[in-house]
Amino acid sequence: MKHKWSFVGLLLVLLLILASCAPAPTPQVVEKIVKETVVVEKPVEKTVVVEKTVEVPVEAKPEPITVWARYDLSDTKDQAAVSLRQLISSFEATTGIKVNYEQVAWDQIALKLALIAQSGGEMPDITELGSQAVPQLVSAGALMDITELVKDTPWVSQLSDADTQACVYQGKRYCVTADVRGGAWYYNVADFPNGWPTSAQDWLKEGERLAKEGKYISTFFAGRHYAAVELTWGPWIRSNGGHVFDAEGKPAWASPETVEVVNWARELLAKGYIPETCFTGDFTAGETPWVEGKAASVRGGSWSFLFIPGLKEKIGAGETKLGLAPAFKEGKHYVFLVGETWAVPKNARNPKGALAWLNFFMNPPTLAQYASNMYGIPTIDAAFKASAFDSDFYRETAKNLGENGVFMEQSPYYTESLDALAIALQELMLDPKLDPASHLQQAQDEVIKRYFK
Amino acid sequence: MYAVAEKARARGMLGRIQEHSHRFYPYLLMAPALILIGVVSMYPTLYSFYLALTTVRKGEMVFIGLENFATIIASRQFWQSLQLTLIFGVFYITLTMLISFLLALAFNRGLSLGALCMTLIFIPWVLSEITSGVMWRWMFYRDYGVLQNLIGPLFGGVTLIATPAGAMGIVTAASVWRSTAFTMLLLLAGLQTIPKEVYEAAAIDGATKWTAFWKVTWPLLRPTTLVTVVFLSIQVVNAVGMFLAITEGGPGRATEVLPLHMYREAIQYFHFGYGAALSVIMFFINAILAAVYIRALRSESAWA
Repeated sequence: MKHKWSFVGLLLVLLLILASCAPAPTPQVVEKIVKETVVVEKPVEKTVVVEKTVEVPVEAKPEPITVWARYDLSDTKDQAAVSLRQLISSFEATTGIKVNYEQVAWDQIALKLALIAQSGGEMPDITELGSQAVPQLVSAGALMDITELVKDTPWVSQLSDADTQACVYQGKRYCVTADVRGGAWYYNVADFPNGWPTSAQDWLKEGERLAKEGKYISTFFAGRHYAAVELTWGPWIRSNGGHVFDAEGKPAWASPETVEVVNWARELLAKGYIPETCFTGDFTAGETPWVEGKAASVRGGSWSFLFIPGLKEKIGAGETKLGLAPAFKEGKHYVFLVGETWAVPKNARNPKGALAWLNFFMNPPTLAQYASNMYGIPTIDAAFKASAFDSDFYRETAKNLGENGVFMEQSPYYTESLDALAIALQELMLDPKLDPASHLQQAQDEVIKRYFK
Repeated sequence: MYAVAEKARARGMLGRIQEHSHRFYPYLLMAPALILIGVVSMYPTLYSFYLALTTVRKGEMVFIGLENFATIIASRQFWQSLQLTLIFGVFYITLTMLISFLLALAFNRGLSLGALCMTLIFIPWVLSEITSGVMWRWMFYRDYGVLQNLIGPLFGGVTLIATPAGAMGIVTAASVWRSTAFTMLLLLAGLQTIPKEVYEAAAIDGATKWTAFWKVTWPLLRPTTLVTVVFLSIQVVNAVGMFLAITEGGPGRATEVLPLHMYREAIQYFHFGYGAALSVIMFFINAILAAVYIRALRSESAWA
């Protein structure tokens, strides 16, 4: 008897577990059932009251949208988060569309999109995305072609050329660039009485002078990470007439131009003009010599106010200025450019809601508020005329990025290729015995063999 | 049992149901656990096997058979990673076992350390891999790193973390530092199961301490040692946290061990099929080690 009840109990527990595993019913209320009392008068002596159920269609509420971005909206100290929270409230009030906001770490957004594209999970309706991830995510089938979706919007024709370079891939638009940010060289005015050196040759001269004073000419991140190529090596190679990728997106870095750049950087390192930490440390370690006053300049980005301690104050005091990147053979002071974009993932449930979001965000005053909080330059001119950008810093940054900013050439195997190049370059910098030409060639051949069959 | 069956027969249909319920009762008891294991463990494993036979082309998952495995076999990076994993494994296991064994012996002989010493030994074990890894990385930065400034001059002033051997040495040292406490506990537990009478008998037979160690301690501790070694070997095959936090596989690819290579391919480059194929290879390495582990456990039971 005891066993029987135990068995029945166990069965009940199992049923409960199974029941709890069943998917919850999805509420899809489109029509409302209204009970209406209809009074029917009959041409007879009695009045009969008949109760009848009729279905009256009611107007569907706008579908909510799911938004992914990196900001923690509960963080009241992060100006960008505070601003986004305000903008979301404003969007909801204006459009009536509820926003389901999900915070996703910046370096996880692309991965999660790729994973969901493959596993078939639920995509957000719109997501923040760095422009460099676009080709890779297109290959992974994670982004929606929004060319048709946005073609009739009032703002699409006002977007700058930078947006086209960031979001249009193989003739199709996969995102909309809110603002562009880019690499930037900041130098201490007092350390350069002869002026900031703007060519590779001048760097060697100034490096020698500063080394005698016990200072590095500059510091930056150039470790084993694709961002090292984007921010440091790529613009140098381009300025020397070389390329990282060819028109098809295949690696094309094994060239005499790259070898020259490597030899120049090796000379800087060997003579102690730049710290070894540039090649061995992470982003923070690459900036530390400048923070500690051991380096006369630092390569950061237009966003560096947020991350490099003391930079904002020094620029405010006029002690530090924005300088041109070192130019090589081509004479160009290239800096890396990246687009901060909004993308609509493939299979997003509510692309119309995503379009409403884009329409709201690309409105110049809104765009100005959003871009200025991350020290980006908006891609619509009218937005840049807002008072938020009325400062020397923004004017100089916009000028620098406008004149010298270059996007990295696109490739379907962007991250893996740039990682391979960064690794090869790090090996070359740390081992002076390695031959640059053959080592770069080997790295290039391996990537082509592996990915471009 | 016969009585239950007899009673059941006597009670007809209801009785037969009760009889069957007795037969399936153990399975029903196991069912929740089996369902759970099936959902959270078996399904992902089987899905990885399937994923290993696919790739993504133009956004579509395509079945490509064993192509991923062929690419892996032909890849220089795979063999290099495997080689680095083996090198790391040999040093990591040897050093961890040696240090843990010495500590376990000392504790077993009544060594009493203060609370501070015990805390120092056990702190690494409770710290997360990433936290301790970042700490080790900082300690070896040129100019700023405490240990780099202390040890660097012994190696001609080179930045240890910037050299292939130095970087591997740092990760190995950090990993040994982290796992010594736990390994020592396993060995100490093994030592404490050896009856004192055996030592007393050996002493009566005139065995010296050295002889007692080789003729009593070591043979009786052998199964525990083997299990610990296999346990550490499985850790080697799955080691990713320390490498990621300290060197990220660098300098160059000098510390890109197999699990890190898999992480990079699957998580950073979205090559889920290729990454899954690597994970299948690692699964079989782990399975072989687990088989050894189970065999060792059986042999330990035989000793008990």
